[in-house]
Amino acid sequence: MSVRLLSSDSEDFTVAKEVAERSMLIKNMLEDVGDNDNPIPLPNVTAKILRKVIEWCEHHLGDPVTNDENERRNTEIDEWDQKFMEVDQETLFDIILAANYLDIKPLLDVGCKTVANMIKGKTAEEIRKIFNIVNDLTPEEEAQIRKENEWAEDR
Amino acid sequence: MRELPNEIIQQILSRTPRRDLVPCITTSRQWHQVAIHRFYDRIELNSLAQFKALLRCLSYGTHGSLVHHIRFNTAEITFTQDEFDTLARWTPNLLTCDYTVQLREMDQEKFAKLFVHRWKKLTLLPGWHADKPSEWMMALGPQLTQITLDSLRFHTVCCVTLLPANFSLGNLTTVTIKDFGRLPTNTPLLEALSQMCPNISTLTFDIMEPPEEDLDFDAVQPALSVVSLTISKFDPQIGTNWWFEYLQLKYPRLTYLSFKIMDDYIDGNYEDPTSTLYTLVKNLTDLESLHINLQQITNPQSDVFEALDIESFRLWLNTSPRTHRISSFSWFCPCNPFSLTSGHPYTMTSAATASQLSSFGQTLYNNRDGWLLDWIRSPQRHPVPTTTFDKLVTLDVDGRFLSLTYRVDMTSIFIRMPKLLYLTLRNFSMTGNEDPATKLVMMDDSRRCSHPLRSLHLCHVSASPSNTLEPHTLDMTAILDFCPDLDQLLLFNCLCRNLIIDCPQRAFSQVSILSFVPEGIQCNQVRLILDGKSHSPASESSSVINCKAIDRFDSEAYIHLSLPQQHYS
Repeated sequence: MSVRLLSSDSEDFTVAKEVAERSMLIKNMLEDVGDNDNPIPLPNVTAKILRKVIEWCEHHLGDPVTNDENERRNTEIDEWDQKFMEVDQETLFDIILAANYLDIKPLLDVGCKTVANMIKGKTAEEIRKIFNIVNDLTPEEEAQIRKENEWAEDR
Repeated sequence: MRELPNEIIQQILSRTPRRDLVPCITTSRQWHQVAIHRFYDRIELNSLAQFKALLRCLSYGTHGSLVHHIRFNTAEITFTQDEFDTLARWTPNLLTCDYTVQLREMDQEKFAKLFVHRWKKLTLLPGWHADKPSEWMMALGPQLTQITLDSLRFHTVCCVTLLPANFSLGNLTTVTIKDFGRLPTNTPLLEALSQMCPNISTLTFDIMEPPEEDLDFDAVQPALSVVSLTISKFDPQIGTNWWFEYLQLKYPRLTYLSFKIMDDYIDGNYEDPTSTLYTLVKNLTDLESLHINLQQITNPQSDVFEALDIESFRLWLNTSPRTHRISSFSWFCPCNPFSLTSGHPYTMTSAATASQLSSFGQTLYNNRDGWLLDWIRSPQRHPVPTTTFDKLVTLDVDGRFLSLTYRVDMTSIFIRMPKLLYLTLRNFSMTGNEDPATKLVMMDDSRRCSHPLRSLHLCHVSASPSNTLEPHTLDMTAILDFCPDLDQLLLFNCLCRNLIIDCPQRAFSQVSILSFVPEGIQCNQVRLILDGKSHSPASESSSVINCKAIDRFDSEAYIHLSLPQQHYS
């Protein structure tokens, strides 16, 4: 059985039901509406990102589902996922946001872990550069924060 | 490039090793807000100099209340009385403190009193005691009124040391047992607890394994002091039958019962249970409050429903005249186990039953729960039902399965639930600019000019006019004007173009706006105007909260939704 999904830019995707059901959002929607031919609109996901998400869901179709938060958090990213996440940063963020919206926890995990790895060993300035963050702290605030937390830098 | 929402940053930081969090704190204001909580949650100290620096930093008074766990990684650190006092004073929410720290110049007994006094929430006592839980339990147990411990430690202390010594923990009223899988809570521990602690009234534990095989049900002594029981996790795979029987024998005086079932699946050879949810609640004659969380159950044909005997349970709950004293009831389940049986105009709670409740929470189904849904919708369906809900103080409903064209009508809620104080709406749509006062005038019902509601929590609520799905402005002003006592407003993941709260004379105890920004959407910051500056700032193009004062304004004020037109054209 297959399901039709409609991306925000109106591209129509037809995927196997069990693939679509990796998304808890879609799974719940399907249970609600029952069998019909209408495409499910996903107003927060573009076709480009939806294609990636479907690719991921298809590859991980047979994966056991674990509800153990810690277990999921502590496992390493496997090789296929590492390759899968080798995308430009904008796309990576979009995948994370889509995984969050579609409620696909394992994909959200992989995305967040990938970003967490990018932070490792970086200075504040380097993190800002990577994530394109504007430093909106005044120099006084920054000094204050340093002062409040200086015990942590004191290793 | 846009910013990531706090929720996602939080997810990322929760996977970032602690040592990499230091630079995150000074990255930006948003990152600081998110990172600081995780940063202080668990503190590890590696040198005496670091410990002294921490004491100095804590005394600025900014972050100490965020600390939940402290670990001393070196024997180099020792305490004086003053140092301990400083540490304890600034970390009032400490839950655990690991490692055996040497105490210098300290009177042990005085010290023990000090930390029990300061660290009221401490659940795992500091290392110098946790190494020998039986010793600190002997020394301090009689003072403690609340204990949270893992089941393995509890078991060791209670069953091995204290019980054989005829030890009594007479002050203990609240006990929470956490399972970490090493030795799940089981009947020997519960039996030992009820013997040693005659005054426990509130008990929380998990059920993750079958009761002891050699348990003699005839010898179970009822724990009559226990009136409140929370099963935070109930694994149905272990078979619910024996446990329901045990709970019924052991805790016959319960007035409050809450449990959460963790799984769809029940062992295959499980048939025709003699003890079920139904037989349990039927025999708990004092029961007033019952909360059942089945959020993990997604299969409407799950065996769990049979093990609970929900058909009989529902009959018991809704039978007229009432055979129970339930005044507070909730049932959250993301599937409808009655979807295949016909003949009931409701899933779990009937209109007549709900009309007797002071607190009611449920997942509502479109084609089943019309008795309530038809009442709180706009436009109203005719004929309008006649039941009133004039006892209802707390309402928490989840309309996740409603069609997208459904709009909740706040005015109807205010009319039909005149005593409501706490309202939570999940997964609903509303028109976004509802004005109850004007509506009532139009309905020729202007006798009502206000509602006593105190707290409004909108969760996954989208604001859009009735003829479109496009997110629109959510203007809460008229609703707030109609509810003069409403001082707690929580918006979680609400979908709207702009948010407007324009009540320059109002003071709130709490306003929280927590949202997730979907992909491709511009964030715009909520402008907060305090001190009741009189000019009206409301406009269609920006988000504004204009009020006199807010005691607690949630830190994620940044996030706001504003959807570009093309998504819905």
